[in-house]
Amino acid sequence: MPDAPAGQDLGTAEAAAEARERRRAWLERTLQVGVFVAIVGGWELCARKGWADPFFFGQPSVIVATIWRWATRGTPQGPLWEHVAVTLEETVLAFLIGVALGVVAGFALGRNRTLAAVFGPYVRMGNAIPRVILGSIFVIWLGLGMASKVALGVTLTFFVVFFNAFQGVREVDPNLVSNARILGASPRQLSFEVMLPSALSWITSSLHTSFGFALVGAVVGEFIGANRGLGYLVAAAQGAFNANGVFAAMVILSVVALVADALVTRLEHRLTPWRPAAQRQGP
Amino acid sequence: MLGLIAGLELPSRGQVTVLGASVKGITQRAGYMFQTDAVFPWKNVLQNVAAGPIFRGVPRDEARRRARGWVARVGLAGFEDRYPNQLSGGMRKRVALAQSLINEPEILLMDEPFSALDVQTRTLMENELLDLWSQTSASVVFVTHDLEEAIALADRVFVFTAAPATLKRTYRIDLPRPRNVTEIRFDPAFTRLYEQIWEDLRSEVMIAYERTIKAAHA
Repeated sequence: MPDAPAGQDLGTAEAAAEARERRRAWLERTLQVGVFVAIVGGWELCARKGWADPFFFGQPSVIVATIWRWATRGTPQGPLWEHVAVTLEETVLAFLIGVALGVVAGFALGRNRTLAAVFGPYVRMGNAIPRVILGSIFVIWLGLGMASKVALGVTLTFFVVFFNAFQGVREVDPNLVSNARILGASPRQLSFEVMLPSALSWITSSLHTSFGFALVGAVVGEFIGANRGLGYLVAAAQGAFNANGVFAAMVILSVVALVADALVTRLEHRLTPWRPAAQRQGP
Repeated sequence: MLGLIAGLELPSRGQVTVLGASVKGITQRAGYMFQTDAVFPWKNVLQNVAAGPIFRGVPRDEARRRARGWVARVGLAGFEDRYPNQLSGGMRKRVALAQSLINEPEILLMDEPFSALDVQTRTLMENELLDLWSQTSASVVFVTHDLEEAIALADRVFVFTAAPATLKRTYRIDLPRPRNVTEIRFDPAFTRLYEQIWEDLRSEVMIAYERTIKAAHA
C-alpha cells in the first residue's frame, strides 16, 4: 500500500513544484520590467507635465531620439561610430598595458620578498593618489590625443591587477608548493607551473573591475581634454547645456561597457577552464 | 617528521639521514602524499600525473606516455581529461598516488592520506595502496591516528608519545601478506596486536585529551 500511490503523488507534486517555480520566475521578470517602466515612465511623465524641467533633467523619449539621430546622421562632432571606436581603442590599449604591467609587477613582488619590501610602500603610496587628477598632468605631457587617455587608464587598471596578482602569489596553497617541490620542480618551474596558474584565478577575477577602470580612464581623459571619443561627446553636450546629449552619451557608454564585460567573462572562462561554473557567478 | 624526511623542513638541531645520505634539501628519492588535496587544480588528471617526470626533465611525450600507464594502474583510465574538481575525493587520492609513484620513489611518505575519506572509500584505497606497493620496491612511511589502518597496512608500527612526539615503542606486525584490509581485521592475530598496541597508546591519548580539556578551560 505505501509505495505504489506514492509514486503517482510524487509525479503530481513535482509538476506542481515546477509550475510554482515557473510562476515565480515569471513574477520576478515582470517586477524587473515594472521597475524599469516605473522609473523611466515616471521620468517621462515628470518632464511632460513640467514637474521637472526637461532642459535640466532631460526626457527619456528625447534621449532615445538623440541616440537615434547620432547613430543615423552623426553627432554634431562627427560620426558616432568614430567616437565609440576611439574610446574603445583607448580602453582596450589601457586594459592590455595595465594588466600586463600589473601581472608582471605583482608577480615579481609576490615572489621576491626584497622587491616587495623595497617597492611595496611606493606602490601603496601610488595607489593612494586620486588618479583622476593625473588626467590633467597627462593631457599636459602627452597632449589631447590618445596617449594621455591610455596613460590615465593604465594608472587606474595597473593597481587593481597588481594587488590581485600579488595577493594571488602570496595565497598559493603551501601544500601545492610542497607537492611540486617534492615532485621535482625547480624554482622557475615553481613560478610558472604553480604560482602563476594559482594566481591566475585571482587575476582573472580582477579583470572585470580593471576593464571598468580602463573605460573610466578613457572617458575621464576625454572629458578633461580631447577632440574625439564618448567622453568628449559628454563634455561637448555639457558645454551646450544639452542634458539629453549627456544622457544619450551615458546610455551609449553603458551599452559599450556591458558588451565589453560579456567579452571579458568569455576571456575569463578561457583562462581558467578548470574552475566550476558555480564559482564564477556574480551579481 | 615526514617534512624532515622529505627535506621540506630542515631540523633546528641535529641532522636527518635518509637512505644513508644527510638531508640538505628536497629528498629526490622520496614521494609524498599529503593529508589534504595537493593535486594541481588547473591540470587535468593526465597532466597532474605527468607533472613529476616533466619537472625532472623527462621529455613531454615520454612523460605523458608513462602517465597514461599510471593513470590506468590506479584505475582512472577514461578520466585523463578531467580536472580535479570534477572528481570524487577518492579519485583525487588516486591521482595523488599515481603522481607520487610515477617518480619511482624509494620512500613514499604518507601523511594521513586517507583520513578525509569515508570509511568504505578508505578501505578501498588501503587495499589499492597495498596492491600498488607490492609491485614497487618502495618503503612506505605512513602516519595515521587510526590504529586499525596502521596494523592492517604495516610491517612495523611505531607508537609515538603525545607532543613532544618521541618514539615510545616499536611493534613488528607479522601478519601474512598479501593482505586484504577488510578481512584481516577479523584475524585473531590482528585483534591480539590491536589490544597490545592500544594498551600502550591509550595513556598517550589520555594525556593529549586532558591537555585539550585544560586548554579549553583556560
